Amino acid sequence: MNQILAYPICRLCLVATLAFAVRGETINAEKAQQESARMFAAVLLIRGTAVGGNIGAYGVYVRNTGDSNWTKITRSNVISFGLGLFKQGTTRRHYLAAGNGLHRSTDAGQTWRVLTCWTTEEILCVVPDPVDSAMIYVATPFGVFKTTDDGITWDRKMTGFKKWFIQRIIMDKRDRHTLYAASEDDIYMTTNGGAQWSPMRVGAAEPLALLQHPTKPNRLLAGFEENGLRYSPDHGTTWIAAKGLSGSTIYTISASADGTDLYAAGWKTGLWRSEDGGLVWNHVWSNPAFDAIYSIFVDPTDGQHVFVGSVGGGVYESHDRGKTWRSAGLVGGQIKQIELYP
Amino acid sequence: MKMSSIILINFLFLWNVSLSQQMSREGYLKAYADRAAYVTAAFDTASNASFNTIATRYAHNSDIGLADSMLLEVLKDPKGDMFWMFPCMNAYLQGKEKMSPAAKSAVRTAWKTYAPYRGDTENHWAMYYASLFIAAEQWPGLPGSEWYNGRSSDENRMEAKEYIIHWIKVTTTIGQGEFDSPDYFPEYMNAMLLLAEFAQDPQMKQRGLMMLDYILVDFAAEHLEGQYLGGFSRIYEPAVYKPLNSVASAFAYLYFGTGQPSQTGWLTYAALSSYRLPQIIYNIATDRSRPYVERERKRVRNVIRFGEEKNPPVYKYTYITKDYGIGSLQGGILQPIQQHTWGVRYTYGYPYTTIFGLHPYYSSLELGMFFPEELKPLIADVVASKGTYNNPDKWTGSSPYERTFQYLNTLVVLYDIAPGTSTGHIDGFFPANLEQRLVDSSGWIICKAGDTYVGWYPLQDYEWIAGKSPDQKEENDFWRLRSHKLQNGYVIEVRSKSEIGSFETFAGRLRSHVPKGVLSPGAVSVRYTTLDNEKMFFAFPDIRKLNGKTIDLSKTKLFDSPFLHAEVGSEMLSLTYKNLRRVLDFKNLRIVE
Repeated sequence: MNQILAYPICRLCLVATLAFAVRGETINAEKAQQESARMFAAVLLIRGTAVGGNIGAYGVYVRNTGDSNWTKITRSNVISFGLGLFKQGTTRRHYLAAGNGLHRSTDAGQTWRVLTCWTTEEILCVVPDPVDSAMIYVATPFGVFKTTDDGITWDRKMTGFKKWFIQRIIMDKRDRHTLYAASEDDIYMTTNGGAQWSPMRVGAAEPLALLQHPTKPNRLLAGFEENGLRYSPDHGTTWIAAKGLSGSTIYTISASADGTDLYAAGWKTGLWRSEDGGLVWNHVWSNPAFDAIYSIFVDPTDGQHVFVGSVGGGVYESHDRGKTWRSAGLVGGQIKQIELYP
Repeated sequence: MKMSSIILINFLFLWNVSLSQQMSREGYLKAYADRAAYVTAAFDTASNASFNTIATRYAHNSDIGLADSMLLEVLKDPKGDMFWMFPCMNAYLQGKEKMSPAAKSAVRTAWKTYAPYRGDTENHWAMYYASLFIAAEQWPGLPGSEWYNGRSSDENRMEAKEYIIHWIKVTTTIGQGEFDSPDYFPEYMNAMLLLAEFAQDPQMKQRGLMMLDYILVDFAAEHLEGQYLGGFSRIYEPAVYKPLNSVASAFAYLYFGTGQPSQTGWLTYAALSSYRLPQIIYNIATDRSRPYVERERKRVRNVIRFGEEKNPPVYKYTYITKDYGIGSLQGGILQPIQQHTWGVRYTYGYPYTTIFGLHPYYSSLELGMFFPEELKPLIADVVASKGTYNNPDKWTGSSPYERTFQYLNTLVVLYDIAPGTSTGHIDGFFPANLEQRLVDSSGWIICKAGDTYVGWYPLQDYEWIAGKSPDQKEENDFWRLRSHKLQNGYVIEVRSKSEIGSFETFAGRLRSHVPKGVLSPGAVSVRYTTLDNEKMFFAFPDIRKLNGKTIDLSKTKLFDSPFLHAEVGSEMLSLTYKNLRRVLDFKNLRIVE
């Protein structure tokens, strides 16, 4: 979920790009740089409203920091599971992992092209290669798929897996050919770009959330269905049950850029934080307005500035490291991911 | 008198005739034309702007200017995803040569700017890709910037074609996943009608035509007086207890001349189409002169997790007579939310022409097998659109704790429900309009529905609860048999007057045939000797023996009955009726007669 965080984000220069694209306004670069950062949220509304209905609310939304008005940048009803970004020089490619395939925009959301076809079915997570724009990994209910030709063809990369449902993939910060995938029975690792996967023997099934520590990359964290959080200090050689949140269902783990604060949340857990790199966790905040938190985002330039994306309650925002919170809009949405729109 | 009323009166006459005897081909085609005219009559003169009205007006040259303005109106704010795509294409193609340039341009613009969602079910994809294929053929050579999904005409056409070929291959080798759904039947029909009528690619047109035969004969072989028989992948309430409420029954009216006259918009595609039902399918649908067994193999909807196989097999068994049909699936979770595992349907007492039972189970684990979202919020998500899903009183749904064993017109159903399961009871549906519903001292519940008799032997204690369907105002319209024991089951015997004689004879025979059950957790079984002295032994979940011989369901063919035959993996379906034969050969894309 947090693969975008693996790469440094240059916020100001891309704010301008987005401002032009989304609003269609003529904004000069100087003015754009004065604008505050935009947020980027993938919203999944409840399945019951999804198909054939009259609600066009799901999709990807952006907004200015401090503003509660969000603008949808995807075209129509797109059940959205996650976001991805490729950034190199002046090139920006935004990806949306969605129910009807992988969408890509090369013009900051003005137009989108579906890159996958029927064989990949629903796309639950996307990881663009940070160097080669033609190389993309996606997680789907029927496995990991990879393209090396910018989506013209997709290869299923499942050697080594026991089960085919892949919920999440993240890429190692140090080696773009090393990836971690949350499958039904375990977390799997590849060191050769998906050609071969090996189980990490985490000791718990149904991993849902993965995180590589931002500054101590040997440290891996995983959240599970009804199995709390597990923590590996040694790149997956050993896994330890984290203290706090035991038995909970964890949907998301996130970190401040400097790794001081780690956050986790899930089903009826509220928001939790670890200040020791992931071993001990303490409750920070709960809101009776919603049962679950699907996403957490910590502003990479300000560790005090934290967002959570809830299931039904929309986005909440804190400027004081979680002490106080305010609703930041998209009420009713299921917020699958929040990222900075760079 | 309005034209539509005159046509209706004509129709009711023809309908009655069709019930009493099978028609000659000429007679059938004439009666079909009259029924099709009745269907479209409602749309010929309708003033509301809908794609069905627009398509019918174009097809019948009925005020083209008005049709144009209606089309512009409905294209202002497209909604409905794939449910928008196929009516839109149908209206466009019915009127393409007649509509104004502005109307034509509006359609093209809509396919550029409105992005319909592909959905996530088999019927969604059938509609989506059939419509996309036709659309891509209509506007060839356009770049991705001219299409809602950023893909070029060629890319869209090729992807749609590939998927449709894949779907047909899967269907004709291991069976449909969303099989025999009385409520989703029209989605497949209309997708294939679009291909059969409008595809320019002759092979795709042929595929559409052959799949129409396939879908219709799949229904025809399990059809009785407008009703779909047997176990179903998906059905809604109230159609599950008012069988003619399903849209498939409207198609039975149009194609088979059975059931009740209908002017549902779902029928307009068929009514405007040049496709005509082959005589052999009509005969299969309507000849009930001899009882028969229809065995079929389908497949489970794509299992994404919590399973070992993507598409495990579904085994269907249906016994059909002129008065009733009793059919079942083997049980377990084969489809989420709307499965109908077994039921008796008969010709007496419309609209409540059925008796059935179920374990009204629900769980996020079941949903997680088929939907990729996080498990815990899933139930609430599904309930938002399928409101009965977590209702313990619901009348549809599968259960991992339910299994069946059927032989001819005898059915055994067993339950071994784990403690703590979402619902700790089983239910049976008995219409209030039964002529008799006797609770006999032998333990049998003995029912009379006209010339059909149904015996139900509960293996555990139960209670009767008066029930009302939502549209029922005063008296109850059904009785609910509810049993709270977790290890449970029942035996169902069905006979008709022509099979066994009087109701009293049936009741007397039942009294001397009492099942013997063992009902302990993890050890649920029953021994029963049927009214025809066949010895059935059934142990939950999957040990089935008939006269001491183990029944191996895995040998079930794709279709196996006096009328239909298809081997697993064959891509071929043979239809037989007396001296008529028709082979749908999908491998070579030809029909052999």
